[in-house]
Amino acid sequence: MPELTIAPRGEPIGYTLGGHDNDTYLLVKSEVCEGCGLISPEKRRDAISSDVRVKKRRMDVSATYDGFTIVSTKFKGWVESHYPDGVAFQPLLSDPTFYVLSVSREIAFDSARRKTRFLNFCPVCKQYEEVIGATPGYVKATPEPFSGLYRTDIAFGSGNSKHYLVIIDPKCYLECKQEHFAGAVFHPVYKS
Amino acid sequence: MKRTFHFLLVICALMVTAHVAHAFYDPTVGRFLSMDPIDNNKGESPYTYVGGDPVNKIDPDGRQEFFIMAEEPFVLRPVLETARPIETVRPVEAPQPVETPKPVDAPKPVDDPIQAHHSDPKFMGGDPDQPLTDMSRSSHQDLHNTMNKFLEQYTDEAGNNMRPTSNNSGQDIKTNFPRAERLDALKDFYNGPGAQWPNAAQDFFTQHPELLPTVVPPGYYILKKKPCLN
Repeated sequence: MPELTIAPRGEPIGYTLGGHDNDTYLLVKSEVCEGCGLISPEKRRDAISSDVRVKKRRMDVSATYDGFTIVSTKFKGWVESHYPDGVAFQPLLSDPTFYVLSVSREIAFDSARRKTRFLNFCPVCKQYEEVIGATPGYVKATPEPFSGLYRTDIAFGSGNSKHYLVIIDPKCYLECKQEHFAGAVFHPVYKS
Repeated sequence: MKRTFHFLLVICALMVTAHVAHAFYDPTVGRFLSMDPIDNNKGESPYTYVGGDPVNKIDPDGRQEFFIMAEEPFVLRPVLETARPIETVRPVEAPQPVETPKPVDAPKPVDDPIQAHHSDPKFMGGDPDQPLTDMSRSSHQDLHNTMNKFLEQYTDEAGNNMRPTSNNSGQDIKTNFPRAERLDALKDFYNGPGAQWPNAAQDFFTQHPELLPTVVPPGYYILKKKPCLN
């Protein structure tokens, strides 16, 4: 049996939705693992600073350097009217026209197919320091019906800037493109 | 005659005292001749100069003390180079330009202000609180254009590369390349085309001395201890 390569085959079943850097950090000093200095994923949302303002303000979808996806009022309104399932928006306390996007519906990411690297395991908090290799994305299966916004079950990136990939279905992708949300970046996702 | 003599006496008194805006200071005794107009509430004599610590403090106008900030004890210096190149020098006090009549249709001066450069860019995972490198805006743009082009050659098995573009965000780069590989690419940049910005290269290797080559060929950078001032 030939070894699987990372090169994609077939049509994408969806797209990742991300954003360009907005030159902002949201995390404040928080309780971290004694072994590796990482914040646990459960406590990450509680470690958001209450006095941060988004520096690059023209984007509808953007990303902080520490891995949060920030969206504008325009994007929030559009999602709430079209694809509200499993999506929550947490307003920034000192910048209430911007929101932290969080998605609760999970899709299993196929890290073996993508050859994702899991580096430096911490035995204390059971986290990896780095999870590297996200695009092109592969998912093991898609839910039925597959509509709206989902997230991967694995967070990617380094240190305390790891984040889940947001995955949207093809119809949602086309509608997003038509809306011309500034700052949004899309990458195809394939089925294993 | 008596009035003239009195005037000369006052002039002489002024010559042996130094006037410090809000107090007369006698350099021979190292004390002010008049009380400090601001009560320092520190239990010090109101006639002392900067609390008796002129090595670390100054008091330009007699009203407020300032600490003199010390520099970091360790710095990186390019080999065979004693001073930082002009690219990063920010004048402390720019001399006042001499006003000359402007000729008609004179060319507009180039607007090239000083900017601060993150030698370990934040989109590559650099520390937001890192020491910044001062450089002109045009130089800063040139550096990033060169760096972006250079980073394109660093690819992974899936065909992703490290060059930030409209379709390759900083977040994409950080999810597809580990920090060690990103730092290696920056090390190669500052040892290659990035060496034409020596201060940025110097600041990068100051942050990451472990990336300095063990054998130092000409043109590379080595750690050098700055002589102690005391």
